[in-house]
Amino acid sequence: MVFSSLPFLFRFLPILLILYFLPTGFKMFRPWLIAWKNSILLIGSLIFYAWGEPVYIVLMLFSTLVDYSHGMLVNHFKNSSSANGRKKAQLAVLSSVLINLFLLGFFKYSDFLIETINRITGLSLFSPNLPLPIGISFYTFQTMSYTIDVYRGDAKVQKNLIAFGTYVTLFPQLIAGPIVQYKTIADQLTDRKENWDSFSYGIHRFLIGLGKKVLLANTIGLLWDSVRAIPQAELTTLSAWIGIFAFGFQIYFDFSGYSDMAIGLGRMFGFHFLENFNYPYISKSITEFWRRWHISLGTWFREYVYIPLGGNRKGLPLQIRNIIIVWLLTGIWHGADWNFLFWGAYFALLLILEKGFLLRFLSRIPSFFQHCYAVCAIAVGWVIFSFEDMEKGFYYLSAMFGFSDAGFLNRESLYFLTNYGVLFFLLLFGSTPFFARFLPKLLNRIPSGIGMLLEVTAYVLIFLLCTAYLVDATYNPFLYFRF
Amino acid sequence: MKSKITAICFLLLLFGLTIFSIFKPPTIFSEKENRYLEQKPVFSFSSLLDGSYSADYETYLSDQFPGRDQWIRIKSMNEQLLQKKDMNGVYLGKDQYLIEQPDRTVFESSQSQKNIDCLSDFVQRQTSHLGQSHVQVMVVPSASQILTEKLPLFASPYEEERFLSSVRSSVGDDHFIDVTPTLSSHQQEYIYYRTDHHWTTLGAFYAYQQWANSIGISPYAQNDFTIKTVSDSFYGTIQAKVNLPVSPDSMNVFLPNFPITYTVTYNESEPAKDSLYEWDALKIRDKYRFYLNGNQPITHIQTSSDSGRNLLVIKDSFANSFIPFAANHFDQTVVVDLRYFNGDGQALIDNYHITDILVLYQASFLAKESSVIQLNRWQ
Repeated sequence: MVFSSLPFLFRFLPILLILYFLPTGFKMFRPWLIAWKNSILLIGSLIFYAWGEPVYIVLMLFSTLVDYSHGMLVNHFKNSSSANGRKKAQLAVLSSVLINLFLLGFFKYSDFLIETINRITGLSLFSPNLPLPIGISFYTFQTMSYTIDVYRGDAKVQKNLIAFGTYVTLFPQLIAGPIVQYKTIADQLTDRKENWDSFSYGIHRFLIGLGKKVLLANTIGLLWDSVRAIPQAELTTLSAWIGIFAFGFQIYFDFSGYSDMAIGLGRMFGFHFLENFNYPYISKSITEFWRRWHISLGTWFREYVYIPLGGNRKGLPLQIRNIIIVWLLTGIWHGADWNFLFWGAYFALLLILEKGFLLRFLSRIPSFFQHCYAVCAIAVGWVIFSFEDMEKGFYYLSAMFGFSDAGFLNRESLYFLTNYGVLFFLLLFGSTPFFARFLPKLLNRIPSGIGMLLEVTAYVLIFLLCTAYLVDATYNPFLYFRF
Repeated sequence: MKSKITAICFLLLLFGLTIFSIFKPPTIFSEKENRYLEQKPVFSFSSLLDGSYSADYETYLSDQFPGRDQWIRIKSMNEQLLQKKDMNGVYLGKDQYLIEQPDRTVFESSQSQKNIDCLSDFVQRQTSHLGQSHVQVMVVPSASQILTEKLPLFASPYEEERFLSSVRSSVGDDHFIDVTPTLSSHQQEYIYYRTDHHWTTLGAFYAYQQWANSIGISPYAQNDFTIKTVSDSFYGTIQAKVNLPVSPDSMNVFLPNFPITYTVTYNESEPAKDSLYEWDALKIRDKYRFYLNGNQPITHIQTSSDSGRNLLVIKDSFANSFIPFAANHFDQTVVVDLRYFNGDGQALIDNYHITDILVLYQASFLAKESSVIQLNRWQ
C-alpha cells in the first residue's frame, strides 16, 4: 500500500487510528497499553505491506526473526565471560550482515548479476526474474544496523519480539524510508507518549508530504513522461532541459513528500524520526547536495561503511578509495543496473574533484555560479539515473548540451513552458526555504485569529485537493520499486 | 506548536468521508463516463495473493467514491488555476473546445503496424473479388489535427499524418480516401463536437461527399436534406474526462428531401425498424447512440433505392453518423463492428452480394483496436 492512495487514507488509516487509540482513555488498560499499541502497529504494518506484496510478507517475518535472534546472540556473547566471547559476537554480527546482504542480493541483484555473467561469458544461465520485494533495501539496511549497533554498544538489545517486529515492519517508513536506525527509536519502542501537540504536528507534516507527492510530484511527472517519450531526433535542447528539471522536481517532491508523510505518521503514533531532506536544491556543491539529499542513506553508509573503512583518517589515497567504494554502493543501492552504478561513480568523481581543488575554486566565484554548477551537475546526474538504457541517456545529454538535430527549441518546447510555467514557479519556491521562513513571519504580522484561520484553510484545502487528485487517479506512480 | 483545529478538521473529514464511502449505495453505471463502474471485489485468498484484489479494490474505491464527479471537477478547476492547457489527455482549446490529445504511443505501437498490415492484405484480397475502386479505406483524423486554430497556444499534438500516410502507402493511393484536406478546408465550420471526440453530422457529410465521388456516385448536396437540430444538450465523453463547466453541444440530423424508405435490422434478428435513428437515445447522456443505435455488432439496412449495389461498412463509431448518407445510394448496407462481431465475415460478403466495401475508422482507433486483425479471417 502507498500513502497516496484512497485505500490508505479512507480505510487503513482511520481503522488503525481507532484501534490504536481506543484503550488509551481507560486506566485499567494502562499496564498493557504499550503491548497493545505495538501489536496493533505490527499487525497493521503487516497488512499494509501485504496489500501489494502478500507473498513477500514471509520474507519480512523471516528478516525480523533472523535479526531478533542475532541481536540476542550478539548480546549474549558480548556479555559472556568466556575468552572468545567477543569473537563469537563478531561472528554473529557477520552472520546477520551476510543473511541480510544475501536477501538483498538474491531478490534485488541476482537477475542483474546473471545477465552480466551471461553477457560476458556467453553462457545462458537461468535468471529467476523475481519481482523486487518493495522496501527490501530499506528494511534490510535497518535491521543490519540493529545487530551492528548492539555489538558496538550503541543500542541495547531488544528482548521483546513484538517491539522488535514493530521496529522492522513499522509502516510509516517501511517502503520508501527514511532509513530509521534502531538506536534512533529504541526508547520509543517501549515507552512513548502520544499527545495532541505531537499528533497535530504529525497531521500537518503528513498533509504537507501528501500535497508534495500528489499535487506537485505527480503533476510535474506527467511533463517528464511526455519529454521522455520524444524520439531522439525530435528532442530540442530546451525540451531536454525542461524535461530533466521536471524529473528533478518530481523525484525530489515525491521522495521528500514520502519522508514528510513518514515523519508525520510517525509523530502521530509517538515516534520521532530524523529528517531526511534539507532543501537539497539550494546546494552550492555536490558535497553539500549529498549532505542535504536522502540524509538517512548518507548517514547509514558513513556510519557502517565509510568510517569502518577508515574514512579520511588514513591518508588521501585510502580516502579516495573509500569514497569510491561508498558511492558505487550508493549507486547500486538505487537499482540493479549499470546506469545506477555509473551514477554512483559519477558522484564519486565529482566529490573527489571537489575535495581536491573544486571546492576551493568554487568558494572564490560568486554564489550564483556556484548554484549553476551544482544544478547542472545534479541535472546530469538525473539523466544518468533515469535512463536505464545508457545509450538513450547519452543522446539525451547530447541534446541538453546543444548537439540536437531538432535545434534549440520548437513549438513543443514553448508549449511545455506555457503549460507548466506556473507549476515550475511553485516547485522552484517549494524547493527553497522560502515558504518555511516567510510564511511564519507573515502570519505573525496579521491578527492571530485570521492567521490561524488562513492556516487551517490552507491545510484543509491541501487535503481536499489531494483527495480530488486521487479520485481522478490516472497518474500516481511509485518511483521506488527499484530501490 | 501547530493548531489543533487543523488536526480536528482533518480527522472529521477523514472519518466523515470514510463512513460516507462505506455506506454509500454503489452506482452500477456512470452515464457521464459512459462505462460500468467497478463494484466491490469479492475477497478470496487467491485474488489477494496474486494482487488482483488490492488493484480491484483501489479502482472500486475511486469509482465509487462519494461525489466522484465533483472531485474530478475540483481537480480540473485547480489545474485550470495553474494555467494548465491540457489535463487527462484533453486540450482546453479556444471557444470552449475540448480536444483530445492523440497518444504517440498508440500510433507507434506494434499493434498499429499489425493493423495496417492486416488491413492492406484485406484490401488486396477483396479488390481481387470486387474490382478496383470498390474497396475503400477512410481514416478520420482526430479534431486536434483539423481544428488547429482552436488549440491552445503552441500546442503541438502528435502528427497523425505519419500514421495516415503509412496506411495510405500500405493500402495504395487508389484505395485511400484522404479526408484531412477536405475537413481542414471546413475547419471554421462545426465539424467536430466540442465535448466529444466524434465528428458532427456535418463533418461526416463532407467526408461522405468525397467518398461518393471517389467511387463514382454523385453525392447529394446539403440542400437535398432538411437539417434539423435534435438536441442542444449533448455532453460527450471528452467532457466527462475533465468535467469542466462548458456549454453543451448540439446534435443535428440530415433528413432527406428525396423519397426513400429504410428497413433497419440489428444483429439479423431484432424486430425491423423504419428509421436510422434512435430517438429515445436523445433522452439519455450518451446521445451519440442516436445514430444507428450506437455500436451494434451487425446492422442491416434495406432501402428503397434501386442501384443494384450493396455496401459493406467495417467501422468504429465514427461511421454511425456517416452511414445515413451512404445508405441512400445502395439497395442494402451491411454494417459490421469488429469489436463485437464474431461471425463469418466472408459469408456476409457472399450472402448479401456485396459490391462495395468501405473501411471507416478514426485514426487512433485503427491504430490501437486489436479486433482489426480479425480481418485476417475474412477469406
